Amino acid sequence: MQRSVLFVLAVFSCAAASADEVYLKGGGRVSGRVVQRTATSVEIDVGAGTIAVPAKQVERIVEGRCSLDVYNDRAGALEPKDREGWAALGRWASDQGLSTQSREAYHRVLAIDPADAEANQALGNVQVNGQWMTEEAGNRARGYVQFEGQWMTPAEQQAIQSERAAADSDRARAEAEARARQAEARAEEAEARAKEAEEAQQAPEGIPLWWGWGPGPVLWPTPPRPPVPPRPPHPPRASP
Amino acid sequence: MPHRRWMGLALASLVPAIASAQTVDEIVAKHLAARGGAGRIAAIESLRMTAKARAEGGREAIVVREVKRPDRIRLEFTAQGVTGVYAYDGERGWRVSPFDGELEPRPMPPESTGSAIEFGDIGGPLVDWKAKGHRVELAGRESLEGREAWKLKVTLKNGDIRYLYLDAQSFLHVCTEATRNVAGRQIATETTFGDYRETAGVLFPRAVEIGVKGRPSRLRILVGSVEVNPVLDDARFRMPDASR
Repeated sequence: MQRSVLFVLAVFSCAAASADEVYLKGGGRVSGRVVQRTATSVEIDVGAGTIAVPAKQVERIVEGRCSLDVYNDRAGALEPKDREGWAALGRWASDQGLSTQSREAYHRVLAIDPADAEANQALGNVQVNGQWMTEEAGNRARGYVQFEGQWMTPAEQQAIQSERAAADSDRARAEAEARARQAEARAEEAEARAKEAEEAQQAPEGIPLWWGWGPGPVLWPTPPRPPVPPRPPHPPRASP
Repeated sequence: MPHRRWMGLALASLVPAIASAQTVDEIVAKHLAARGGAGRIAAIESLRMTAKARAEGGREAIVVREVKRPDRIRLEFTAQGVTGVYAYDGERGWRVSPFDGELEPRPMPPESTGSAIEFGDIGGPLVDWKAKGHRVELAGRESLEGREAWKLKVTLKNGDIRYLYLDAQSFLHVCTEATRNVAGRQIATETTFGDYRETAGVLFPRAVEIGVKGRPSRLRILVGSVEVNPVLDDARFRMPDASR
């Protein structure tokens, strides 16, 4: 899978050169601060990290104040104990799609009042027996288990593991048969592993929009992802 | 008004008797009437919905969904200042998906294209379902979170099966169940619809939740605005030539 965007985790920087809307030729857009611009790429700080866009993909850059600047100005003017101010800023950042900043503002609210319902809900916390807790703790409290990144009942986890054990058994049998045709089997196995690794890499995280509302990203954007290292070349296939 | 409540209960007790007389055509007709009427739905040539999508861990995105007859859909997904575009022009699906590491227009993966075709139908599968080549059967009447609902088995023209639940009282669409292949396993997904509000005489759900049956995680979509018949150029749905 080719990844032309370099997502790099970066410390939030206020020493930005400018605040821009970077329009991509295909219709996408990146809004943030251009922190570096060369002949070959444009690097934009989006508030949760930086994105390097190849210059050839950029249609135009419109300079101006971005939402991130407005957030920083407003946050800088707020008193640490201003619950209403931080909550309003959290709502505003959420409306701008600035998830990271919205969470930051709501964490400020919780620092003032740990039981604040709006901030807890905005941060994805859940209430179990009157106590606010993280979604993860809430799921555990309700008896769910986490298995390969998904929350499910212990029975479902058991069913998946049983299915896999059966599949492993089948695979072992198939491998034994395949050993008779050793050369071909080695090539097939290597190919299967590469495919599995690729599928694992492409497996959706969380719940994609296309299950119920329309097309969307395969991966729900989590904090910026590091570039995927290139896959080693397949071993040469043995002739039959 | 206590007497009204009692009257309501008395009417509700008659529902099972009435239910047996319901046919698919009658249920679908009531559903379309409940939404505002087949005529008003047919008058919608294009739609723009702006929503906020919220996933677990407080992750949020702004989603703008544009749909235009025939079968065109474009979805813009913005998170943390980054916007991706996912579109289908009636013939082919494409995307610019920085979230998937793609900055230039590329063909959409098959599962996403299938979704684009399905959700690019402005009226939904029950409108003119025979003409569209779908098949609709009455699969029963079930209790859904304490409310009675008609269960319709919809076999889409491409063979995919969806179970649509229509509230037995309001006849509004409240849930869709579908089985999807996820990482080699068949997963039962469910999408619920609620908070119906009127725009241009037609009811649209403003709260949508997508998840896996039996699992706690949900993707929540809160629709903030619905625009009926905005001007949408066909070019918005066509795959751009990024080489120019």
